[in-house]
Amino acid sequence: MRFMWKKRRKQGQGNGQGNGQGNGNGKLGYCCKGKPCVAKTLMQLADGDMGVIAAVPPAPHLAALGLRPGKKILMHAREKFQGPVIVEVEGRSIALGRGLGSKIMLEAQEASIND
Amino acid sequence: MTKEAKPLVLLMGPPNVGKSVLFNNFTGMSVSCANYPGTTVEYAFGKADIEGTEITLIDVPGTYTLDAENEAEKIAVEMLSGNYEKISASSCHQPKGQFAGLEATSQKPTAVLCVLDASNLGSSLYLLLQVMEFGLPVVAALNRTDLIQERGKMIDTALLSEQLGIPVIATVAVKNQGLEELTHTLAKALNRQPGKHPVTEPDDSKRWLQAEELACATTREEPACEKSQRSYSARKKWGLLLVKPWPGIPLAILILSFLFLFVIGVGMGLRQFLLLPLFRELIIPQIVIFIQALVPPGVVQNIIIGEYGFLVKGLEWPFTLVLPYVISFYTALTILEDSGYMSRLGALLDGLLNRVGLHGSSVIPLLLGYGCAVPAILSTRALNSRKERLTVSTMICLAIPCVAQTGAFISLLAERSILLVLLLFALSFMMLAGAGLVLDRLVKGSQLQTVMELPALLAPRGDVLAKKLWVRLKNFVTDGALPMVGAVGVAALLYETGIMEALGIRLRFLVTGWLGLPQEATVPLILGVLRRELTVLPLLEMELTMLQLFVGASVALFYVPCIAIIGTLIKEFSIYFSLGMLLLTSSLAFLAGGIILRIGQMVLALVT
Repeated sequence: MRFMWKKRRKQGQGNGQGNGQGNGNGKLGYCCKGKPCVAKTLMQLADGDMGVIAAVPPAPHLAALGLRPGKKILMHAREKFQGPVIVEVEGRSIALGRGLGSKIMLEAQEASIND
Repeated sequence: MTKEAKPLVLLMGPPNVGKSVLFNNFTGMSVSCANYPGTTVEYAFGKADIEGTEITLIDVPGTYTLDAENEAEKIAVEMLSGNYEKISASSCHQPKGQFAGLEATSQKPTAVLCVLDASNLGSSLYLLLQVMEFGLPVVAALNRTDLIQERGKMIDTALLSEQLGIPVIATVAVKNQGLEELTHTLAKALNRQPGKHPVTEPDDSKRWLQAEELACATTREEPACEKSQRSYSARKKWGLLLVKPWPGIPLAILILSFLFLFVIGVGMGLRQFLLLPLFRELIIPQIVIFIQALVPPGVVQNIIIGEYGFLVKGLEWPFTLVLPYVISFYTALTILEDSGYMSRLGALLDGLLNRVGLHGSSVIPLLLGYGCAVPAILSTRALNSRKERLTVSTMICLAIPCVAQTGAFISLLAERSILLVLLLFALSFMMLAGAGLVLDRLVKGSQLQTVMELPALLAPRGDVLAKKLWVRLKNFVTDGALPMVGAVGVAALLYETGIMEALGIRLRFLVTGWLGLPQEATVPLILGVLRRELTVLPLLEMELTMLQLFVGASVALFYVPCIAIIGTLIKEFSIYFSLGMLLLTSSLAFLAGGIILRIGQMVLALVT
């Protein structure tokens, strides 16, 4: 358990860009059109930026909360102490654990802020 | 008498959409409503009169989908299929008799009233489509239409109804809008066989597609008036500011300190200027005169109006010591609950709570615990894992004083020094953090990732607040004050018959030897099993030094939970868990009390 703690803290230090675990830059994802493409994860989105969801891990309730492929997602903030990220989808604010955030893939192109 | 089966209507919908508000409206009952997902954890049953037909309405806890991803969803599916026996067998939460009436009546629900969230139509429609696949008559209430109007949008309910093949009524439940039409439609649906509805394939992605298309086709742009636009953007801005680390964290500290001071200040004011004079000078002297005239002096008179007389202390304690804080605390809590701030506080603290194996959503039961542990432990059902439920429940039992106990602490300690009260709360926080760290290692279970919806920030409505406060005060009188009068009666009996003194001698080594308290302090330790605040109140009547006061208060803080809590623990977990909790709390209380006494003595020796 103590070991886990240290690990968590280490992640906290490297938090300048808000990276979650295991998300390198050119990770292979899937666009909504089914074509494989180079995509980034939700965690790579800067605060205040918007992206389009490409793929969502099969965790409970994500789809029901609006986290579905093709939806625009706005990154609001990252909580302190390695807490969740606050995102907005379809006008609804959601707190998402960073582990999940790094598994949500976004489409490569930037989406415009105007809804 | 002929036993005609009453039609059974299920009230379903996503979490925090206003099902309970509708339920209360239909049944005239008052199940709790608040602005956070997972307010309803019990299946409330009520009778409602729908245009002359008496129906049984069931308030089903909110479900995002029917994919059976958590306990609430699994049970919702069973209810739709009419398998109540399965539910009552599998759910340890419900007293056995709860479903008995249903088993005797119809096996399948007659109709479903599905509440849709206008501001998240796509997701709500997915749930509705799933519900419709069960082939029951469905009436949809499109709730929270006021919220979507502010965003400059509107939903074409006529088109939606046509596309779905079921009636859809626009409502604003908190403002009673559209409810008459809903009642009327429901009445028609009860006398009708399930209508034709688009046959959906039980395939998740196709269902999502259909829900999305429907939502898209029925949503129209409709520019909102400037006033509501402004209020929408202001609420949105504040909703974000409160959850962003900056300025969310300083604001949280500010808000919580303000509420803490509000609860203590208003409570003390109510006690000093209203309730204490009322009871001490008006009500109790009248009772004493009346009893003296009726009952001859002796043991019986002493039990009624003597030192611990249950019509003297038994009235004074609950109504002048506890009631003021019940009023001030629940005012603050209700505002927190209805504003939508609780979930934001949860998001801010999520990272810290993760270190002790909990999630941000645990903030809700922990805060409720400062009112009463019983609803707090029930509300842990909305948490994700059993590990979290066990940890949070233990923390509540161990170191979170209920409002009655807090009231008692304030009267006991604040009269000497307000610092003692703060010190006691600091001790409580230390114990909570320590308990969290230890339990995280002891209790097995995987840690899930946080997924938490942050409800819209809403200004609490005065009439709703007043109603909720009234219900809570009524509950305090029936579930809190009356048992307390009884408990004081038991104490008076033990005291007057000399049993208390005999027990005191037995426990002398512990109370006077280890804790350094006078022998009478055995009284609160025995009474404390009945009611939590009684571990504190009798100390008021003793001449104690500051250190003794603090030791007594610390023991009381960690000491065994009251009978009602033990009952709840047995119902929610198991008898072994409750016995373990009794052992843990009492041994920790004595251990901590003795250590605090010795540290205090050392500090005092150094100072003087």
